[in-house]
Amino acid sequence: MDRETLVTRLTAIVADSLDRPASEVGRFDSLVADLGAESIDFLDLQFRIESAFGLKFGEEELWRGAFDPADERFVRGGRLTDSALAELERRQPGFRWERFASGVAVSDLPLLITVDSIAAHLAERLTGAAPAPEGRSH
Amino acid sequence: MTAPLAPGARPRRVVVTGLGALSPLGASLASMRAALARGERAEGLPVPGAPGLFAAPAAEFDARLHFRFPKALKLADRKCRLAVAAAAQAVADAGLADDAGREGWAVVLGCSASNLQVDELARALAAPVGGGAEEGDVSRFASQVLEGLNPLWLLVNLPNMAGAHVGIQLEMNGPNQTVTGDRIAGAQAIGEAFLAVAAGDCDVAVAGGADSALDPFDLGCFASERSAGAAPRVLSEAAAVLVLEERSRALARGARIYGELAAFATAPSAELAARRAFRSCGWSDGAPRDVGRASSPGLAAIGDTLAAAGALEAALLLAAAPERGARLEVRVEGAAGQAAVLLFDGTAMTVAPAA
Repeated sequence: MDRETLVTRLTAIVADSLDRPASEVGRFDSLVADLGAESIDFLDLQFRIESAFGLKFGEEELWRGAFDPADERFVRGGRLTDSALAELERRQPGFRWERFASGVAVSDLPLLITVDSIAAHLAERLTGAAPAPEGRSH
Repeated sequence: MTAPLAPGARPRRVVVTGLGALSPLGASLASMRAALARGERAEGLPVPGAPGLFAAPAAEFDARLHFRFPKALKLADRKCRLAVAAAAQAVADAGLADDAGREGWAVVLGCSASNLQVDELARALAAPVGGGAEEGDVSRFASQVLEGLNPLWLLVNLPNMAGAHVGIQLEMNGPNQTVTGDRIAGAQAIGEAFLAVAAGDCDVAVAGGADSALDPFDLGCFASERSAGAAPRVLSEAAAVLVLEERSRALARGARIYGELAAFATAPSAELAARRAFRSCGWSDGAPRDVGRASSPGLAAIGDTLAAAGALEAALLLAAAPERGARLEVRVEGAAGQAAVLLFDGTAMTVAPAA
């Protein structure tokens, strides 16, 4: 499945979950900051993605396209390093990075989740480039 | 939040300042009353395979209009949507829709227990078990069910969700309770709210009942309970909500008062409940007198609204503008004979008195 199709399908899923028209769900909108998603909605999205794409999908994988907080190369003192930020800005050019002028703390990571970041990770899952989760994330 | 009464302090007086309701005969109390005045009845559609059983859905309404946070709709089943709509109507009817200061307002609703969305549960159970499953392997069974169910499934069915949805969507953060029971639950909810306002736990409460008998699984249960030759039965759905307010607060803001809630009692029988209620407000020494009995004529025409019945009855009686001093009784009995009684004192005034 090509990236654009993934983005279209995920946009529909996010729109449905957050009760918004698909036209209001921008590819680079922060699900949390721009679309009002809460942790309860991430549970719903995880299940909907599993059902739609026929794979096991852990809730923590919603973050992975944005950034893997366990990656020690990119985290220092609870904040993302400059090189990590630069990499993210490269991956998500449409995201409104000006909101993070003073940097990104690990606690800010949910704000970076977008349809585009989920699509990027899902693409790797579908090709097998990224591994399936080991257990349930209930 | 209001501080509860000091020991020995008198309970406060509680009045009804707003009404809201939906049922098969109308998506508002006004349209419902007009339909009843025209002699209309909820006839419903025949339930397949259940002769004499009919299903009458509520008049069409758009729940989204009343949900400030519409993404919560995916967590709101039919009765929760009806509850939010009726509560919003009641608050508007009380002239409080623009009142942003809802600090400490209580929500108490009565509903039947959910059937746990048994169709979704069945789908999860029907999925093939992974290879090597042994009979009696509980952990494998559990994980199969969990993997097949949306994690939000339980949140739709928790017994306190009607109160939760009303509290969230109408932004009321005071005491919040859902009475889960059978037919008397809505009347109980109004009674519990009455006690809360009287005791000083809150100054304003929205209280009532919301229920829907029309889920296919529930219809199947009702059908299987019927004996041959049983009288026709119309199952329906409804919500009715009252705004209860501390009396001096209502008078001070010039609220339109439908009536005063004088007493509430429950008991294992209707007789006992009535006696208890009458004694508590001192209307008599226990024998009901001078009371216009409830079971408003409208209620039978609306079908069986389960836990919403008592609240709907109260709303219809109060909306009929009882004369000052008219005494109204709402009496609801449950399947096992248990009963709830609410007593109201009519006021028939459009402008509140000065004192």
